[in-house]
Amino acid sequence: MPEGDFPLHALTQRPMAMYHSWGSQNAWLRQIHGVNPLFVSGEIWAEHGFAEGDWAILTSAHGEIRVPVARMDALNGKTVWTWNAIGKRKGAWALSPEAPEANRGFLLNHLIHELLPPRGDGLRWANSDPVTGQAAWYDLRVRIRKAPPGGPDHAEPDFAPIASPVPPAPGTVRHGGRTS
Amino acid sequence: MHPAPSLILFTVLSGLGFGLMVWLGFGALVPLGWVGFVFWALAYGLAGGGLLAATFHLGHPERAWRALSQWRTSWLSREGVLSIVTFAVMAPHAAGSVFLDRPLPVLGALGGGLALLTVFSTAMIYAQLRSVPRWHHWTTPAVFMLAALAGGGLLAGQVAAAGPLFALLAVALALHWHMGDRRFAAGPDTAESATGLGRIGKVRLLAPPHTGRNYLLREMVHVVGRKHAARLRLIALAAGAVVPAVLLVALPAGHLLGALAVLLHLAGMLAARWLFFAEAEHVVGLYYGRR
Repeated sequence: MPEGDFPLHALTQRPMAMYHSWGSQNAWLRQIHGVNPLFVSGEIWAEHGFAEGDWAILTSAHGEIRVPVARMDALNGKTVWTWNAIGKRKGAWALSPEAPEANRGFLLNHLIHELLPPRGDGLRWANSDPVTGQAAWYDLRVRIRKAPPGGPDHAEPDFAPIASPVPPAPGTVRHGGRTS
Repeated sequence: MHPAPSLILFTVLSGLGFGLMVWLGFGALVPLGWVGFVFWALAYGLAGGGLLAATFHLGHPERAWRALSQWRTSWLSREGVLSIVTFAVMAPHAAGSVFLDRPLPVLGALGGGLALLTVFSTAMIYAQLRSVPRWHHWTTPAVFMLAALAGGGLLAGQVAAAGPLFALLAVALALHWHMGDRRFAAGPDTAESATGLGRIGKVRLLAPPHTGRNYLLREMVHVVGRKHAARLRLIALAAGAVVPAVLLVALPAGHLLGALAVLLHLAGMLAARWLFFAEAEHVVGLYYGRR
């Protein structure tokens, strides 16, 4: 892949807090990590003239996303990254369409193809670790540009809500209150 | 700080009630019979009603009595104990005046002193907090006590004394705001000291500790409505202190004028107390890059 087209590395990892509460404490997790910005290095921040509150368009060979950016100086100059597993499609997890995860949260998934490029052997290989199946998040190459001002106040792509098989989540989750 | 209506009502009304008790207790006027009943009912009603309003602020009002045991370390506890002792000490003087035409000046004076101490302890609940630099200042008890004395004096019909007290209250309010605006910046608490990273250099927050709302942000980092602060200060200063002072000094005394001055003062003090809470910046906000 020509480096000039996609000069940056994009990384993503699950927040540590999620490992401490696998499948439970989701109200708590939502409070800690409800939105995620794209962290960009100081070098990229200066080069593109980003300011606090700006949005960027991040492009890979496979797709494009429009996301909020934040400056992080303790980062390799050619790297951008964000938390994985925060962004949700509207309606997923029985969340309301206004949930922060469904609006200001996003995933890098839209930039990553399921399959590796064709090799001419007639087979398409999965874009994941052959042993563990872990999707290949650490070889994603991208380019970035400042999003034109006046865009919507939510990350893109923005899909229609999916139907939830369970009733909508309660607006308030209480703990320790009287049950009777 | 979140300006809870129960706390605003409590501090303003009970301050007024205890202020009236100071004047009644020290015998600035000694109303007897039915007139005495009205005055004492007003004093007890305002002071006691305010305390009741304060217990509604608690998550578990039925546990309010437990606060009384912590008077060695807590100003809130002292306030509770002092208010109950004030009520008890004042009761024979009040009952004697109303039912027997026999005031008890010694108990009255003792009760008056206790009432003033109660207002002081209310103010100290806020003034003792190093974590809220705007409150941690002598102007906080000054405003609370002058408001109680001036408002109480007005209720007690002490026009000559209330006028100058209102003028002093205006000065105290102005000082409280003027100095309060500079307290946080002048204090030792910064993002550098909060994170302990100051020895490396200037700290810029990459991300808050959590992205959602929580109790701390709701109660301690309340920033809603501060944009109205300048206008509210003018209203509070004018209605709460300046206009009542001018009315009392310039115009002949009368019940109608007194009632107007009381209502103005009450409205102004409610605005001032709303500002007192809404403008208070807790240092915990440093962790969120907000105050």
